[in-house]
Amino acid sequence: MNLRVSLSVARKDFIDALRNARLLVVILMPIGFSLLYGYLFRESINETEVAFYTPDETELLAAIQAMDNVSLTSVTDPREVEAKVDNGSAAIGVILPAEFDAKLRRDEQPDLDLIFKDDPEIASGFQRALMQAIEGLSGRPPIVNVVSRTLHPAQGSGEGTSEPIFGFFEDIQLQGYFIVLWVMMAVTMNGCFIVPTLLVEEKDHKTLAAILVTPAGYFDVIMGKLLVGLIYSLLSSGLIMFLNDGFTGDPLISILIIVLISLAMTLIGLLIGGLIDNMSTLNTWSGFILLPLMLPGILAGVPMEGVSPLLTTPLQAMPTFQLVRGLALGLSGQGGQAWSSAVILLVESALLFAAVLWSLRRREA
Amino acid sequence: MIQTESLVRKYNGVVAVDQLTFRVEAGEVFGFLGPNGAGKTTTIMMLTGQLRPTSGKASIAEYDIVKQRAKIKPLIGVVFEYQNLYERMSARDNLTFFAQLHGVGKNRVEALLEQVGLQDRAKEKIKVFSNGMKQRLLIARALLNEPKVLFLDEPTRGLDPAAARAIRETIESLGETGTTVFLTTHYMEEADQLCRRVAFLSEGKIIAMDTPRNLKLKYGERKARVILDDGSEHLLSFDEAADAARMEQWMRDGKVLTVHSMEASLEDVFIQLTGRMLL
Repeated sequence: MNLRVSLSVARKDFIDALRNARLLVVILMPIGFSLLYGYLFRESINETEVAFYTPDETELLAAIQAMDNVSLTSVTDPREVEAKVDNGSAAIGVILPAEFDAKLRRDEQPDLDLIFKDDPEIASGFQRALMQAIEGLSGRPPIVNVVSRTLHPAQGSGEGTSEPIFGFFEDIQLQGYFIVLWVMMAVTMNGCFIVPTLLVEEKDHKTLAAILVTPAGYFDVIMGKLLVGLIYSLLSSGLIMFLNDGFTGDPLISILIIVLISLAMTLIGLLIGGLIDNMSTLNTWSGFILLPLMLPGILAGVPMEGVSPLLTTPLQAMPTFQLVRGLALGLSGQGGQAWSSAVILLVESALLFAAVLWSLRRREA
Repeated sequence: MIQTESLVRKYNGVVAVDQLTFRVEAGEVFGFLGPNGAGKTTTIMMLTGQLRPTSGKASIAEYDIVKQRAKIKPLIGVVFEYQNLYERMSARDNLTFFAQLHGVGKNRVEALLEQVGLQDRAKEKIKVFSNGMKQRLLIARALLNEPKVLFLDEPTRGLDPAAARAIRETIESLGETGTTVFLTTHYMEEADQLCRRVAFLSEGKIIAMDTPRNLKLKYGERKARVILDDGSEHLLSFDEAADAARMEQWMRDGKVLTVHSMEASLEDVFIQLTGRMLL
């Protein structure tokens, strides 16, 4: 591989994509959508009313007040907490025992009553944020006995449920749902539309022939396109995450998942670009290609109980499914469960890279 | 500099180039002439490594075009038959990109922009350029690496006479600098003007190869068309004693208005050889 050549191709394509109005729209669209939806839903989705009772002073009160999108109401009687949750004026209730802070410091594992009505999604999100706040206070993983109570438990839900295979959007709030969706759109559009367009345009306009009579080889060109696809995917996804406060939960696993999905989708884009020789064919087929690629990701977010494994198993093999799974788990602070998605994406990227190399060898022959 | 031996290229069993054997010397401007579909572009594509020959051998600067392709690339420049430039980029950016691929500096880019007369338009996007300007830029691009062999595939096709003349002058100057030029064209006057030797290609085969002068002499007629002051036209042969006497008498009597030699053009030679026009 000639690095100088690949970098020159990447630099040229990076600028050329911005000069192409059509590609520029495709690059900016997911970022724009994320900003629009983030603005429209930010106020309405996350304002969680919390009724709070403590018999004495606690630093936790200030920590909860500092949480994003939490509206705190302090009450003077623990029964009032339950009443507020019951009548719907609070989504979550928190009751602390006397000397909570002191017990926490003495590692006495103080009780913490967490009351919610019938929205476990909000409660689990709040509980994770609460644990982070307590860890912030004590400086170590919290030793707290959380006693959760559901006032009107929903049918069929309960403890002991195994990790869901689908329905990952249930673990994140609507804002997180949109972040995952726009990141998926960004990596798919950048990897599987921008990259093939850049490659097919070179073939269609015969500029590839001009490159290949210089010391540049086809592999160098492909590596340049891979680089530019990765850069655009990572920039778009990073911006979407940053602008929408997406670096929460387990940001490291989220970043890893984004890097791997960007690689996988760009490699798919290179395979598509290698198969198609002219722009009109690419334009005709791009819609048919993009939709099946994104569909598993969308389906990963919704519960699919009772659906045949013949349908769900192939869906789980798709990179976008693993993106949604991994990113949703990362955003919801359950990054430990997302490693399997990262491994699957890594293996898929390796297989896709091998497929690209194989197609290059075939072309050379 | 360029040598081929029984070079063959087939597309799905159809022979496009058939047993081509020729040699182009270093510093020579060599014309490869033939109608559309004769196999000119296929030959260039094989020699420049874009296409593998079905059989036969060829070398450039003694490097095999298949096995030593990487060694040939820095030695050649190619002007394609189509104007394959990046339309959304400026003239300077186009050249700079290819300069980076060749590993040559920006000074060379500026020098070439000046050489082809595009320095004042260097910042403009290619999509606003005329065909002639694009063609000049393509030649500049092909010269970035100071190639030992320059392949020009129909460099003046579709250009207006002034633009074509400018391109021909550039090719002439390249020939003077010792660059080997492999020129394909179906404009016979162009080949006549520029090339030291030409090869006629028809249906993938070389049917004649020599200097333009020798070909014209070999296949042309030794005749002259004479128009007299009474308006009559006469065709005289240089080899007939009676015609020489007639001409002498008309000259003595002051009857001759004009004399046109009937030397064959390259196009006449081609038609004579193949029985078809160069279209």
